[in-house]
Amino acid sequence: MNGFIQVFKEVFEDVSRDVKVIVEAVISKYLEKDISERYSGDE
Amino acid sequence: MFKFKKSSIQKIIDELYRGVVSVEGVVSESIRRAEGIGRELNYFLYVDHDLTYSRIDKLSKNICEGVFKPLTSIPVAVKDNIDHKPFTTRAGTPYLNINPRMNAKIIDVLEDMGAVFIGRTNMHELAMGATNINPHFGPSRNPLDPSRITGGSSGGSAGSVAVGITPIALGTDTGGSVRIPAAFCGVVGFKPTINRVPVAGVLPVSNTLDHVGILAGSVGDIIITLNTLINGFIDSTYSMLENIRGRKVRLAVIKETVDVSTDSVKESFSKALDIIGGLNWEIDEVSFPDFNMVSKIRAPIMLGEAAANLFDIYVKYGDRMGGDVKYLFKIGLSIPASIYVMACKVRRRWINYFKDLFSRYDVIATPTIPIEPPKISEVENIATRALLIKNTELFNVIGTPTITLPAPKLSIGLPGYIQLTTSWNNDELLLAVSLMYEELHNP
Repeated sequence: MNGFIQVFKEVFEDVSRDVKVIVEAVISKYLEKDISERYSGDE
Repeated sequence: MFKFKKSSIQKIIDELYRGVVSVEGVVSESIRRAEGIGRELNYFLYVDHDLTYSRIDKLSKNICEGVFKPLTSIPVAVKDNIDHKPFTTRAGTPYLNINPRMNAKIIDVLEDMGAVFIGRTNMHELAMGATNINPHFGPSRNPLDPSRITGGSSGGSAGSVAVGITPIALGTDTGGSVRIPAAFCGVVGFKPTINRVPVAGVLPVSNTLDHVGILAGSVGDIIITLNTLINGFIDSTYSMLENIRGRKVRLAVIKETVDVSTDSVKESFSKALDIIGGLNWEIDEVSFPDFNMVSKIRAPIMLGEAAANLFDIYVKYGDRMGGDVKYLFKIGLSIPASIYVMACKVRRRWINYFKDLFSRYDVIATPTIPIEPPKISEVENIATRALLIKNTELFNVIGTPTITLPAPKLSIGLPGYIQLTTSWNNDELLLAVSLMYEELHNP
């Protein structure tokens, strides 16, 4: 189990910049619709 | 039985029936070519002799008894990530050694229909890339210019069809992995509506993006193969063909997929549209404003699912993986669950957007790939690798049936490519319009 957790620790450090780009893009796209549209749609 | 003009399968079956060729002749020639040009261009990781020859005996006996099945003696190449007992599933790696408990569904069906599986094809490691430059077994080389890539991840399967080793080959497609190599190698590559052909028995990458696909030299051979998997597929496609011959097909070109393409790809695509113009279809241009967001939305879905599905493989063998694949795993492991869910919700919006588009159009067309096949030495460039899947990955995200067909030549002298897609479960319509296009474009 400790080995698996170590894997996560290492990978976060290596790819944080690219993950940040993806996270920001997804959030901005997701929030393009306002909350009432998101709840009323079938997404 | 409907006769397809360019079908290699029907030609072989006809010659077998007339006694012009034998099962042994057909299969031996296929194996000879796999061991020859197939090895030279690095399309096969394993060519089977033992099982193949026992199949020859069985099929020859069947023919003596008058039993002809739709794929009797047809040689088929199988991508290395599809389970086929007793072979180990290695997915283009030297470290995996999976002994499947059962065959993938498509293997069982094709075998029952008389197909002969001659070997397992080279692929991008773990199907997680589109170049088919495999760090363990070397790159598969483009049959038309060996200094260039085949594309991937089903590159060996595309090459096998392109150089005539097998009339059909099996591949998988998570972001374009059937269509990209088919396009670069000048053959037809088809992925069905998501889940219409079961993916059970394929080493998973992404639960919601993986498709099993078929590569062939002609649309007719794709239809014949699908008919073994989906009852009555030939008849329903033929009915669809009769139906659309009598009316104007409405086709939409997604503007952004053309804008992103090189001049050479644009010119080839434009000529392909001119061919379609000869069919008197209605052609419009439409916009998909989120086009440049597709890779960002697909990334958490594909990489998150892959990192979960193949986590133990990464932990155990990560140090032996190629750098590109290892890096994708790391991104997948780092994607927050909340981002995965948001990406899936954006995907749902896009599906609705395309549902609306398909209420107005029968077919959507794009260049399959926005660039020419790169030289093997050029694909280290991350921007080039991203462009390979730029026009294909959208149709994995939304799950529509999609095909690539050869188009007029690019400026470098290699075949161009056009990609067509229709709405979900309209695979028959897609193949019917593809037949009409193929009748007019005979490279």
